[in-house]
Amino acid sequence: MVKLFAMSVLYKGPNDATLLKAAFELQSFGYFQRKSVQEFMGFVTKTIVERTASAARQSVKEKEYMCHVYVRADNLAGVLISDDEYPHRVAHTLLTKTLDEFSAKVPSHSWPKLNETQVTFNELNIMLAKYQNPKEADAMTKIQQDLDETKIILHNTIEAVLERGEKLDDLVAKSEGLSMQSKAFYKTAKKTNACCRM
Amino acid sequence: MDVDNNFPAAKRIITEIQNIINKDPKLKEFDLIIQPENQNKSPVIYRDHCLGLESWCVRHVYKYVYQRLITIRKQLKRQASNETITLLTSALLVNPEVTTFWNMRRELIIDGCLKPNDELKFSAIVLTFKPKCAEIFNYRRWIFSSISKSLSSTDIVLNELSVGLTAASRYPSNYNAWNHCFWFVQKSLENENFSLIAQQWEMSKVWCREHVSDHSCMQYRQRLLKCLVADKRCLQHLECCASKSLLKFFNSDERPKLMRPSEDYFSETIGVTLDELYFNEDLIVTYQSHESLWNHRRFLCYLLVNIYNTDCIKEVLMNNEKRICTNLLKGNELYVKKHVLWFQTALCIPIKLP
Repeated sequence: MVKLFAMSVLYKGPNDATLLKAAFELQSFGYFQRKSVQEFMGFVTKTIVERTASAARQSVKEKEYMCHVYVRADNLAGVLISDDEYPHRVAHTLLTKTLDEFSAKVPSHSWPKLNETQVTFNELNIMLAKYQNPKEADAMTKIQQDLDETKIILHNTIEAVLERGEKLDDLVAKSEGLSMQSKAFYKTAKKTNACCRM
Repeated sequence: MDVDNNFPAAKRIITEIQNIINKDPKLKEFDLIIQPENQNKSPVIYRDHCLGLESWCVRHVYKYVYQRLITIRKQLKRQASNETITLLTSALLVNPEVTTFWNMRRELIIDGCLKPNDELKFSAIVLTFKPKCAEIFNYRRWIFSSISKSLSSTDIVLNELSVGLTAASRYPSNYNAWNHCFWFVQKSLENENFSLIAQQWEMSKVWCREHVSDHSCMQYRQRLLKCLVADKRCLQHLECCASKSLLKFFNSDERPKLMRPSEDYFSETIGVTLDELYFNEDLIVTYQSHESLWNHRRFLCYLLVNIYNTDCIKEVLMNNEKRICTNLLKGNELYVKKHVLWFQTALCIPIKLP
């Protein structure tokens, strides 16, 4: 599928990252899986931002999913979770554009103090819907040309992004953002080695 | 019976499931819910027309229904009863890959204990849980071909195609789902309904763009294209810019060589194929590195050369492919080289890369 599942804007503080706004499109998942999938995407988003340096871009492949991250020099971060058919270049262009629009709307001095409930930025939902078709991104050619693809760090699993000694299983077990059911979901999915099919 | 003693709740659980299915005509999904521990409440969850069963009880329930059903099946005198239906419903929801259970349902339809329309609804729900399961598609086709011979109604066919499409969206490269759709297209062609194939041609184009590595959808398009090219009546409902593609593909010297005025049908069929060729090029440029797209392209080139076997076509195609391969070489080296090699060996058309 050429599909965008989630787009989020975060602020990367010195110790951890705070979610400022998130938008999801999860209709393609089964009714009973959506909640866990959403929690998981939120978990992965936060985990990866915390492990990406300032002024860096990363793309992480995990099975049929891709997670694109961009942390700006001013510590504003954007994460896009898509299917691996979605063109990577367009994904990163979209992140640049999103963060530009966000910083135009929300003043930068307030970022460290904000949390998700205090931010209004409905453009994120609109963008998530609009750019489901990557052809829409043709209008952003200027940003695309400026994007230096060689600077995007590619990883083939989430594990590869983690710091030395860290294990995904431990992070999942410790996470506060995941419900008991989602943790059970993770364990089962891992056992059957297929993320969303059981 | 010792099965009962092992898990006395099984009977209650399967009755609850059967009741929900009987009661709610709008039920749309079934799924297992991961829950490793018994929560001391009913494992059947029913919300927003979706039915879920907690995973901890699945093995116990399935063991119970399986053993009961096999016992019933072994009886020489088969009596249809509500118990059998209830057992079958749960057994097939959890594991739809057992043909014997579907056969038992077939017998119940023949005996008049189950209504074909209800069965179409039930099997559609099972399909949401196992979208690739061939037994479910077989069962649906069986209902149409041997019970209700009402395939002439467009609504029924369209509904069936949408069931197939939903299954295709839920499982990547779902050959069984697309094969199911094509069966209905074929049936409608037999009934001389030619507008359906045109509608499917347009629909699957949109779908392909959203699923660029789905080779089963592309194979579906290949089968449609073969029908379109073979029968003039299929083409008349098609809304396409075939003539534009023709102008783009051939320059003004080549066109008269290819077509004579008597052959406008010929130009239409070649136009459809060229249309698809340009659409495919567009996808290859936008979405890099998907082998399914290159495979589809090979089919299109093969079709062009084999149906319209003229030197003119071969030459124009050679120049066209040379242009594309040259433009795309960077970043797609593996696929381009394979494409060139295939042209040389299968079609004897040499493409020289710079």
